[in-house]
Amino acid sequence: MWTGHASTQIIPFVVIVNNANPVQSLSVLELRRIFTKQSRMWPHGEPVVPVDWDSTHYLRSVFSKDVLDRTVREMQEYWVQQSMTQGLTPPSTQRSARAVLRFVASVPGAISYVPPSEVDETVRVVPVK
Amino acid sequence: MKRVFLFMVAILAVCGGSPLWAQQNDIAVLRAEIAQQQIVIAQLLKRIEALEKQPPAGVAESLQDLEEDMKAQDDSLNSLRETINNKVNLNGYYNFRFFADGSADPMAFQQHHLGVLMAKQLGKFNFLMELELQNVPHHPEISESGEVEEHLEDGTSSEDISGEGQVAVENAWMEYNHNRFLGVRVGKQLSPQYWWQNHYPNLTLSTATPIYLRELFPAELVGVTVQGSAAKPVGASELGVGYKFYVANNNFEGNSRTDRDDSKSWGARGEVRLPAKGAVRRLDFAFDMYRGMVGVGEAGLAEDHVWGFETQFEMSQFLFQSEWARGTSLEQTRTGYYLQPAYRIDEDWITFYRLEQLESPRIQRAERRHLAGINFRPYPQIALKGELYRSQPLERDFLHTEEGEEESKPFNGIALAAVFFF
Repeated sequence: MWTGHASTQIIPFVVIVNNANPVQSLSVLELRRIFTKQSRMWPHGEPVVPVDWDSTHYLRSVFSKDVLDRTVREMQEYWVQQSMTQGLTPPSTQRSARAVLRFVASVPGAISYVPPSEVDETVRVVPVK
Repeated sequence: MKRVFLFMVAILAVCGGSPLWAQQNDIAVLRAEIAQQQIVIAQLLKRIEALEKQPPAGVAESLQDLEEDMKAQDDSLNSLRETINNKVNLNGYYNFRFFADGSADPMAFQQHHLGVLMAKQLGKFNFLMELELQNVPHHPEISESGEVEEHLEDGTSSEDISGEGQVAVENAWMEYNHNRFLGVRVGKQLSPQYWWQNHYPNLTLSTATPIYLRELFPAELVGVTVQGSAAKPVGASELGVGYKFYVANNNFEGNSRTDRDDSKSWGARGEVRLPAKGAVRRLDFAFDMYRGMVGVGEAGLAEDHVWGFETQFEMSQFLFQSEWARGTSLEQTRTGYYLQPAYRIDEDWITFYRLEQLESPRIQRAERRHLAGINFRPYPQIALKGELYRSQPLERDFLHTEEGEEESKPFNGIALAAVFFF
């Protein structure tokens, strides 16, 4: 479990992938590459489909700061730059844990993060080292 | 060259045929899925209405569940829409600039650029095309570069025509990324130096490009680039190295038409990203070199060698970037650089200063320029820029003043720009 710190409270989240994804663990740097679209394929050949939370959600700002080492605003600027220079678009976003789970469960290469209390059997939790 | 071009068109047609066909099917399936989900949403709305009419006991919980379901369905629907829309990514930017100064061209509104970018990802393949609509009059940077200037039958220059413009293809490339270590990009692409790669008005702080830029490394190349990078984790950061090597047509006016020699230009770039720690968030260095030919009119071609260094540094709210380059052709040496410190006041405001210089016997220009300005960026997609600048001619032995020609004098100026990314 990866633990983020937001001001006064500790807000944990777990990284989830599709049940068919054989990946055993990920490092923070690998996560960073995935969510900045620098890594685009899983080792088993499936395209990586990162799914982010809506930019106004607290989980997004915690993940952005802790994993990507940038604020949400800085990441938005990063995606403007990537769109213009590389033609890359930011990850698609969801506004609720249910929608994130549904997306990850139905797309083989999908990866996202949710509060641990929201995890169900439709997805698999990947430890972050 | 014509055969190579036709061969590449044939390859693109073969490669592009199948995914296009498959994409139509994907879109049809996704549209069907959207229609289905819209029915589900309509049913859920009816259930909410029915529940609202029932007695209050237990209704609150059911309603909350249903609203959650609605939200999830809505998000799924949006994701599918996004998937459809992302089949081809369409972006663009708009840049409008005004300047006034004491130079020979004292004041102008410039409909600088309206750019449209079309990009597509197909697994390991990337495609990008950028069309740039330029309004050329009052735009010496463009006309001086020789990109558009042409003489008309009546002896006037196209610069004289108010309102005339052009559509330029700035990027048109296809990229294959085998893995992180190896990728190949073919087609018309920007030169790999930092400023050329990031010269878009949304990404730069100043309204103007550095004065030396067009006189050293070529702005773009038509050819093949092999590129890759590797990184080693260091704490929460990483030590990264990257390379680019390219072979391209030579760089002179109308290069695709007048590349009269088979000896192509080539260039290389090495990049190092040092691990960031604490307040230091970025520390990048790069080295560039270019070997090519330049057109010298009736004399044919002359060898041109250019090399340069650059760095980008970011610590807390302080940013710094710099590039330096030196070129030699026909035994003449030209140099140029810029140094640009900047300070991020808060999320929306950033201020900067830039010192830049160019010394070029080739175009008889020696100039230093100071720029200081501020950017207001209320959203990542919008930049409102304002800056003051001072241009100072430098005294150099290589400068020759023609009889009757006025000597260059220092002048001050102001520039404003509004930039939108869409």
